Amino acid sequence: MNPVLDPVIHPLYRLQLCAMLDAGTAVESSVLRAHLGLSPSAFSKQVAALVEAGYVRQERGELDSRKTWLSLTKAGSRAYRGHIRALETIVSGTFQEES
Amino acid sequence: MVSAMETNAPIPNRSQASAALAAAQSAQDSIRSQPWPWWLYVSNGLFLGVSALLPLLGRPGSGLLAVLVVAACAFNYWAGSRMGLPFAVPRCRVFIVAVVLSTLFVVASLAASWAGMWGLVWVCAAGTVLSFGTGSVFHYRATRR
Repeated sequence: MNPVLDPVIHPLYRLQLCAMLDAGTAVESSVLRAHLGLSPSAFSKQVAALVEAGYVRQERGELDSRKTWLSLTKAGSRAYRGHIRALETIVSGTFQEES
Repeated sequence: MVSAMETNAPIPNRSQASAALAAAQSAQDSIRSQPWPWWLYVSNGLFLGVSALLPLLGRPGSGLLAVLVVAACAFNYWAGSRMGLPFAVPRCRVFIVAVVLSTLFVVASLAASWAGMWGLVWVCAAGTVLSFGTGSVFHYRATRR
């Protein structure tokens, strides 16, 4: 996994959102919003940015269409893990900025 | 070599990166530390206990065991979906070890029945319930701090 800082994931709420989806695989949106402590509109904005980037998949529940389920796409998972690796590299002091 | 994609945000310094990593870890922990309803512990304990005793029925018991395993998986998926987290693996390591141990006791119970050691089946069933019960206590306390 190449360490790459991703500008879409970089904002804290989006990083946390991706982290939770990485841990939970598929998570219901109200659970994510409750954990982040965001208003519905603020949460929707963060999700929309990740969906637009192709990092998060948003689906209505099959059994209960009132529920919305979020999951990381393959691209999203790669981007998230690459971003985490980049952060770890910065912390370890081995970060080198590409010119 | 780390690359930074075209971004409006500056590259974080070491302290900012550390804080971001901590925030990500905390977010993951919050998902994996979601409290379970009490009935989920009880039902899983019953599933495991019954699974360990089914070999007493002989060959029909093995068939029923397969059915019970599928039913338990479906039930846990349903319960997880109710909580909004059908696939989150608990963070509590003691609980994970306890679940693995309980499963091993069920397998041991099956093996004991094949060997005709019926007393050992009862011991394995007790081991199944005790190990899961112990793990449940740790999980309950860890998720309700």
